[in-house]
Amino acid sequence: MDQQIPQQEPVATEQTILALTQHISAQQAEAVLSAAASQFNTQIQRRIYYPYYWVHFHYSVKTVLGKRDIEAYCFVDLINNLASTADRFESETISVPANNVLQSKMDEEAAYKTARTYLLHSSIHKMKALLLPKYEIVQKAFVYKPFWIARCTNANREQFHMLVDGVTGKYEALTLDGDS
Amino acid sequence: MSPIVLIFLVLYYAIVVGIGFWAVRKGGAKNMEGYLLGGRQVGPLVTALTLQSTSMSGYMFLGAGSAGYTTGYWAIWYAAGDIGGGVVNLSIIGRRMRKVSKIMGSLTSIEYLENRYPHAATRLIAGILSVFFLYFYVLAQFIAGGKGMALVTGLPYWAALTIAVVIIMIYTFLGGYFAVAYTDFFQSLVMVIGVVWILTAALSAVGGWTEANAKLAEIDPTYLSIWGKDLQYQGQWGEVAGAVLIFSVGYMGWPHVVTRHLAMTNPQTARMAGLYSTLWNLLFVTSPYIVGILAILILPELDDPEMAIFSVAGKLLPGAVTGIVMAAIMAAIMSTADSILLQVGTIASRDIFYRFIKPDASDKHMVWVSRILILVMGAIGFVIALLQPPGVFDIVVFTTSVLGSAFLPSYVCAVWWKKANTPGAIASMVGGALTAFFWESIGLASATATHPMLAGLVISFILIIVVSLATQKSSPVKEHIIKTMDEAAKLGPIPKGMIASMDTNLTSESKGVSDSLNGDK
Repeated sequence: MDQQIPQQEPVATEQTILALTQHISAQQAEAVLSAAASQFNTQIQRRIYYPYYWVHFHYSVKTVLGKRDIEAYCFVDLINNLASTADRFESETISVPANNVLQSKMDEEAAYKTARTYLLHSSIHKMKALLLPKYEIVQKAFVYKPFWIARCTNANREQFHMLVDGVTGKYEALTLDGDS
Repeated sequence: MSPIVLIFLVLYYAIVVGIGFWAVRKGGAKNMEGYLLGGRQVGPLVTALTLQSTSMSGYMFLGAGSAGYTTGYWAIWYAAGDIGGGVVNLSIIGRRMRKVSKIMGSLTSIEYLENRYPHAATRLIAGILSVFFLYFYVLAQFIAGGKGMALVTGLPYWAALTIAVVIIMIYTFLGGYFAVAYTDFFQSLVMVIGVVWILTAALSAVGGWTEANAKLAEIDPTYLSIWGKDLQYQGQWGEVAGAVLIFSVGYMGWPHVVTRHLAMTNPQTARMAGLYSTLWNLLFVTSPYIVGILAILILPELDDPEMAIFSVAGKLLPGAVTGIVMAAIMAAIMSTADSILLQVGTIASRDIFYRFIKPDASDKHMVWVSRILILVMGAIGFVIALLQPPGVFDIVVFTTSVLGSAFLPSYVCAVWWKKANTPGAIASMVGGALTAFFWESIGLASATATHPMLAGLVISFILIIVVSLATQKSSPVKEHIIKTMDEAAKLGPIPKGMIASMDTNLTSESKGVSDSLNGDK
């Protein structure tokens, strides 16, 4: 059975969020996917905002070459409780339809703990120094990242859905009920 | 060793330390964080070479040369596996495994195994096996460092070993200068040029490849055989398969670290870095083996075959170049040693101490546990390397055989076979490791003409299949695991080119959105 995703963002309650600045428009997302799957007809169906907890750490580690000061950005995926490092980013406060915003499944305390553990793990691994970094939190916030949901169909009535990162244009497959 | 070699050796270290100071003080905070924390802000060439430099170890410079010197062209089987390994890893298992581990949120491969085969025993057994056998690999780096240092400085082995181990320990505890992208890049560049230079000089010294083969045939025609010197492995395809498997899939059994990075731009760096890495592999992997083979002609009376590459460099290269190349090689050996020591320390503290002994341990406590453990391991390793140093080649092949046999079937079945369950995985890890460990020592390798790697893998695969099937009712695979495997596997009609360009860093977001939309229905 085909997955029914509303193509028009329905009129709903507005929600004000801090979002990463979108750099990829719906047309650009369609173009990226069309280029990779030319035999499929690609159609952007919806934009959603994905919840993260963002922590900007400033930390320092003493090494044989002296003290290293590092700025680190850590994102915690608030649905799957997964941390990652991130590049610097631009953000803006916007109002969007509330039903386009995915709901977080974690509280701030749990998210912060995940971020801190990941920072320790990655700093020891990447800096190759068995030292506990001294860190301070420069900034922290709940932020949302825009993603496009696209449906790709072909003449054989096969279909799949893709999730396109609205900041970078990178994509990953969705596994929706009703897809081929 | 001539004074010129020593002067340029010291000069090399001075330059590298200088680059390190410059990078840390001037550009460190702004430019290096991306590299340090998983970003890619230093360009594809630097990224590729810095990543590759961590894989260069004492094995390449001592073990591979020794294999070529003692067995002739037979050694190329090991190189063939190494070249093909990356392709096997990336194309067959890599992507799906990365997806599953990212969905499950595993930071280390041992966490991944426990998430997929949920039981405390999974983590305990995997942790102990990893710590124990990775430690042998550290030992190999100690020996390589000691031998290299002895040759470079002219000091006796015991003194050179002491210096090498002390330097490795300082790096491990305080963070060496190698963790700076540009010093790693510089070091890699010197090694590439150095190895190619040694190979070119060796080929020139023996009058070219054809001439070299003719001369080898005069000494002993079996050096040219694919069955090894004196045809010792003639017709033994079990040995050949094992030799190829060692570095093609054996490395996949090594515990690896999973990191995740969210890019905010869309650079082509990763793709280009992959291309550079492949080119580097083709160039670099076979060269040490070939130099080892040519050393049979250049230095026929070599006392220690593990010194083949160092000795050929010392004999054929200008003093200044020898000093620089040897310094770079020594730096690579030490850099590898401190990386593996850190990994062993992390596994011991996070996967064993924190998980089973003191779950409420603070971060500081865990770092201290790692430090103490690494000190103890360093001391024991030093004593073994001093009193009875085994061959670097033997240690690395042994370690890779055991780790590959222990973990590879569990990793592969984790993503490809839904019936693989916890009892099956535990039986496979224990059985595979024991088989590879004892196969050689109780004489089964020669009796069956089968390499320990092949024997270990076969037993390990049989155990995971038989035990999993036998225990399906008592230990069924949990629903959420099967769902995760389905998500990693489901590609439907998506074109292959599109699959290759998908970003696994978005896997968890994809799962979150899919769950949300499927639930909304």
